[in-house]
Amino acid sequence: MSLAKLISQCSQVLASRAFLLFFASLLMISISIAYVASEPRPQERFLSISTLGSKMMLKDYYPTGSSTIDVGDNVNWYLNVYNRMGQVEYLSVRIKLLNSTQAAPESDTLYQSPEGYIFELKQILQNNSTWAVPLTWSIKDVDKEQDHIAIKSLEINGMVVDDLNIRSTSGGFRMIIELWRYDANSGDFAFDWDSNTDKRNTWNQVWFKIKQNR
Amino acid sequence: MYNIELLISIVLLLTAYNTDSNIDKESTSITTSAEIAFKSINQAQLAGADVSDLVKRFNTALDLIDRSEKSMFDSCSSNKDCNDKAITMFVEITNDAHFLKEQVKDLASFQKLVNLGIYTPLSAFVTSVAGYWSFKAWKSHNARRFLEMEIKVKEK
Repeated sequence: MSLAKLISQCSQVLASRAFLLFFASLLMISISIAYVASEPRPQERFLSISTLGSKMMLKDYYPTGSSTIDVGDNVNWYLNVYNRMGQVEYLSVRIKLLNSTQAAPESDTLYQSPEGYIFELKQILQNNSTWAVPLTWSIKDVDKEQDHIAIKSLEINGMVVDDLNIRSTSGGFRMIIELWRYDANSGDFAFDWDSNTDKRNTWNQVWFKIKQNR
Repeated sequence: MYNIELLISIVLLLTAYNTDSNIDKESTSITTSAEIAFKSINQAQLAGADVSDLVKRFNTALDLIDRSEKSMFDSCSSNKDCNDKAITMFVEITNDAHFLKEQVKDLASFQKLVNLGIYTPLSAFVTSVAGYWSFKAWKSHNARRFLEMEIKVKEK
């Protein structure tokens, strides 16, 4: 096919009404698809926290294998925080020490535990990223009475927390790990977030007992 | 909006430098400058910027505050030094986040314009020409085949 013939054929194609109609339709569809594809798609927003044992698995939470620990035993955990909120999040992990009767957080009502936190870790986390925090803690001082045990002092990640008086008659305690996020509207950290469909929160708890006899 | 935030950050930084003993004021300065820096990072990220370096620096500043609270003075010399360094970092992050946001915003708008205004119509045109031409070729081939057909009488 000669060049002249090719040019002539192309001109015929370009000038034809059917081609123009086809091109206009395809152009409209393409622009619509390109525009929709360039817009961010809504996704389910969530934050998650998981507490892992010393080998970063859902086991080996206690140094001796038993949930009953002694004063001075080093407990090694890892906290894994995952951000899927679609944006950078300013997060705070708050650790609370509770006995078995103190109020824990609630997932249904979104209430945080009313007790104060004994340790806090802050970090900003990009979307679709995980923040792994090693957490080493040990009981430093307890008051053992006949009818109760009270934790007086604790060390977490090298920081000694004194002035505690968490009593338990059953000997059962729990570490509550709450995940808070910075809410730019209120200018403060909040215990819940909007998942696009409803409000949610996330927290963990790990139970332990203290050895009665030294 | 940004200028006000930057101004507040600078004022906070100066306040932190000028008050020696007022711990509460310094704590407020840290909190506010951290919040402003975080908001700036978020805005830059929403504009489409890669904020990984800013996030890293922000967390380094948080680590300085943490060390100051625990009195672990290895990367800074005193409580005040740690906090001052952290506030300086937050102010710098705010500044850099704004710069990054403006840079990326222009680039993102241009990229979107190029995609929608040049690449999409060009692709549609090429596809249309190829499609229409193929259709015409198929049609003429069918016509030619029809014209070249011979009528045969089926023998019983």
